[in-house]
Amino acid sequence: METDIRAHTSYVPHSAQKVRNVIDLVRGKPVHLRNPSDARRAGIGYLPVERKTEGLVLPLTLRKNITLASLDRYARGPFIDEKSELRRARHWSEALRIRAPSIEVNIGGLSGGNQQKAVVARWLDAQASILIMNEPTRGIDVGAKVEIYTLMDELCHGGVGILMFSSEMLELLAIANRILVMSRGRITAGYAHGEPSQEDLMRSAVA
Amino acid sequence: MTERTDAIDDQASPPAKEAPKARLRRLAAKEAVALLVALALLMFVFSVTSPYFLNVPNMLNIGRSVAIMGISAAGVTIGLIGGVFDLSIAAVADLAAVISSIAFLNLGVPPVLAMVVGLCVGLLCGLGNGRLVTGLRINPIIGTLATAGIYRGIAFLLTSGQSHAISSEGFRWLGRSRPLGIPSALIMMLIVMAVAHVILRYMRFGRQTYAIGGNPIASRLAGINVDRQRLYLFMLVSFCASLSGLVLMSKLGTIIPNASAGTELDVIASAILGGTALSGGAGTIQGTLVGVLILGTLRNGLVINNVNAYWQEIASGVALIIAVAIDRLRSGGYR
Repeated sequence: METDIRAHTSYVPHSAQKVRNVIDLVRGKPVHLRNPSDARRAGIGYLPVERKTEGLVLPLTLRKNITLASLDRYARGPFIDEKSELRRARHWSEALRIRAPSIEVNIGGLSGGNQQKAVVARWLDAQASILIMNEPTRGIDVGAKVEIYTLMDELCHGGVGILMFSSEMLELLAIANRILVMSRGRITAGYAHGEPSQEDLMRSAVA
Repeated sequence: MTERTDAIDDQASPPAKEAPKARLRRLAAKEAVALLVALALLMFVFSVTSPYFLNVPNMLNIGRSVAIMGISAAGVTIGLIGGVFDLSIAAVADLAAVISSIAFLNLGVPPVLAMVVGLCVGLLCGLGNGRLVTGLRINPIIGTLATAGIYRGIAFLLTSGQSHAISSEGFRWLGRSRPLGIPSALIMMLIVMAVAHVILRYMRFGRQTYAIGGNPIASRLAGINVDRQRLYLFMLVSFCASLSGLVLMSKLGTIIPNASAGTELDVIASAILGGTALSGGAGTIQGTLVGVLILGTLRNGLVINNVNAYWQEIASGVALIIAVAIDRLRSGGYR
């Protein structure tokens, strides 16, 4: 994953100043990204493809899943300040319009789209300014997909850089500011929004 | 939970989603009640079958034997919640007691300090287990089975397989004194369990333990240092085990290099019986306390009813199978 980040950072869309700072940090000291903890500290969040096996901690509640990457902030010595934790979790749950009967439900009981939003909320709570989303809409029904796209758009406008990996051409054409096509581990083409046709993308993908 | 319900769920009727959770909660509540009923039933049966069962001295006796199991089980519970499985607890308990007794008997270390030495042995054993599993990526069950052999071998070597009496009063307060008429071991267990409960419920360490046990991959991707947490958990499990070994030695007034051998079955069974998920991510200390009481009562009742000691071993095995079967039922259809 580390190589991927470095290969792509200079092309991250919508480089708001905040994002650029982090990218410089990442680019300037690539050795510091040895593991996901380092990436988290550098302000990079990751949404895995396999939501249930790599994203969520299924036995835990929505609240505990949202604050998983930001426990530092709620630490009062060795203890967790559950009051402020709860407040922040509620805040994100409302801000991202996560539909759940309560913040204390088991995450496993939520729908795919709401689970995905919970993972996004986790990284926002960890104050990530770069989100790497690996197939963010896989296994999510159409209605929820649109919601995820809207959310991504809002995040971009709020200064979060999003690096999305996707094999769905239409969603790339619709929402990406820049598209990089990879084939056999190498970047074969780069396009701006509205530039390429599906045929262009396919051609670069098999190049 | 299936993706197909998304559309319905997303549009309206959030209460519909409460159903699985309410069901789970009801199930959990039912199970807690069932466990308490099982305990009451056991006590009832044994009071009928033996006149020696239901009286204060015997209850305190149960309390004391339960205490030694419970101290270990508190650590094992936290370990299992974090997905750390340790089969070496009995060997660690015995090795800690042996080295502590050597420090006292042969090296003239004062009793309290000798106990600290024993606890340090526990921490070191846990460090060894943890390094083995997290460093060499060895399966924890096999890894700790191997270290159990090593630790037990060292305990035998150091004592030449002999038992030694320890007559010092300074060594006996831990397992034999009775402040306010309550066996000190029982008090020790309650303290250990209270601390374990606070760790699990209120501390960051506890939260991370539930997280890495529930899903180590997701926890790692969320920036939690899973290996380090596992290492700490191994050390914590071994620390509790060594404390239980010291209390047992103190209670017996003798150092026996295999005094705890075989007890890991009961300890692990009691944690699982009490609701700790074998797959990690779930469990409570209160549950383990009830689990420990059930197994302790069972053992004591069998002894009091003059049941052959070999049958007790069989009972332990059966109890473990029942506990694991309940665990399967609990998580059935969940993953």
